[in-house]
Amino acid sequence: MHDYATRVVFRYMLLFVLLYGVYVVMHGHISPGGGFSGGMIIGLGLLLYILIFGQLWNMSFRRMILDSAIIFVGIGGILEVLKFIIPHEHGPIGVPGTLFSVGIISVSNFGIGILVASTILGVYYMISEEE
Amino acid sequence: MVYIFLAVIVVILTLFLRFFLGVDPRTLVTLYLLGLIIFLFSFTVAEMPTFGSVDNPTFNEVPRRYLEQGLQETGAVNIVSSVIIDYRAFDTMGEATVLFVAIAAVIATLRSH
Repeated sequence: MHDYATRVVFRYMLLFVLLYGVYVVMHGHISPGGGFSGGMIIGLGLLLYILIFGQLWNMSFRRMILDSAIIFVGIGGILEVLKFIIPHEHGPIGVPGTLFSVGIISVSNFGIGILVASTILGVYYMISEEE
Repeated sequence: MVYIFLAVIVVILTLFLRFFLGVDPRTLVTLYLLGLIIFLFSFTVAEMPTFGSVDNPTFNEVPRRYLEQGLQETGAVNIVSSVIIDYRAFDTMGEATVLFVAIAAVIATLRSH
């Protein structure tokens, strides 16, 4: 995309898109949303950023992004299955209704969010490399 | 009584279509099979339990346990999140596995040449 307007607009929009995605992932246990939808928002924001600015980067940097996406898929999967590793019936439980003390559900939501976002980025990069 | 009435109507309709309008018998059979399928599907949908009713067979002790004990057992206010990630976390692990296998298959296919 060689458009100047999209570049200028999205330079300021990216922060809010990512902030909203992180908000949806973080509030997965006290409001509608969760790892899948929040990870999708984060992944699509990063994907739009790469679509607009990606032509300016060289090939080794793009390949590094793909490799880090694969690594983050693994990290997200490990965070998501952490519930089965911790030997407790329901995992650690925090105070209900508060943001930062809910325990294993929040961790699993973060893992799912990382996994979904990196999957979108990885699939896009893998397909767009064949040029 | 209603079924006898319906049968008489069907027989009269068949005779009318066959001998007055000259419809092909094969077309007639197809038409009646289609009508039978539509009738059966509508009957099945009409006999289904209404959405959100208390008398539903799915409203047993399992959703009651989720709604009443979910907050104390999982600590999450969002019941959907507590079901997805805590009670049915094994299913969510399967979904994560599906995502991982998808990206692994794409990479293995496209990077091989």
